[in-house]
Amino acid sequence: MSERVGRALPLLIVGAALIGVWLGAAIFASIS
Amino acid sequence: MGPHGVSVRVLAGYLAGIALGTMSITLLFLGMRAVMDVGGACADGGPYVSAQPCPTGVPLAMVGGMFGLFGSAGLTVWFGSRIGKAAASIVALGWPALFLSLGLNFLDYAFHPPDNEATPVWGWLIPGVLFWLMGGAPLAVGILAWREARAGRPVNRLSNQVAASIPDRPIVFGTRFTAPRPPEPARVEFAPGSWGATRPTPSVEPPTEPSDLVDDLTRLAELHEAGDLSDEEFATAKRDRLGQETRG
Repeated sequence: MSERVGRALPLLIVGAALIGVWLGAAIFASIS
Repeated sequence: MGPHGVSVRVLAGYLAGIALGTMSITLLFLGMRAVMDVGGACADGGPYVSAQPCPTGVPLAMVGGMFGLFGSAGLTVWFGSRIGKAAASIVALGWPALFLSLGLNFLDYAFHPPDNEATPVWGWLIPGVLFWLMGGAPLAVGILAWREARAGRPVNRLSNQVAASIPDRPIVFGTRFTAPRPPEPARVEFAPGSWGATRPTPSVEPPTEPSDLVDDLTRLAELHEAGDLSDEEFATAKRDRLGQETRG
């Protein structure tokens, strides 16, 4: 893993987690 | 491909796994709230008319959320293990995340019930506390162990025990390792004419075979010929060996 990606990994993880929450809420709103 | 061999594909798979995990927990969280809004239980389908049908979308959200969690754990571990140990072990946070967020629903409804019941609603409060214990206790132990390991201090007793329970040998998937060969299973013979015949079970220690006797006598004769045994010694040894056989 490149140095830059390694340092950015925590941020990427938090970003992915937030996108997941947003996706979950959007999917739930669309099916309910 | 980066210098340490982590491709964009691996990184994308790993992040997709994490996103799928938080998405699944969100679906479960919102689905659970929708069910609690209608009293805490609902049913759909089957030959019966349900007194409390499920709110629209809830069954899909709950089932999708549950399967999504398994998929998320799989993706995160699969791709995370190619990035590093710490990256894969983030999956352990899924447990506290699930139980703390669903427990939060219970606690919220225990103190703010939708139909203005007397608070706290014990039926919500007790599972809420249980869920927080189930999610919070492993998280607290994990954080303590992590902080001590980071500080380079000898870890506390509990985390020592946890560490001691982990085998020294790395658990490696997909590589061959040589296990001790298991004992040969008892052989079942189906020779013509043996159908239905009961065979005597062979004993664990087979009786001395006649060939052993022949071997021993041959060896004695060799020693005698080589001059290591005198005539008298040879005769005595031979007699003893033969006597052993008849007593045997």
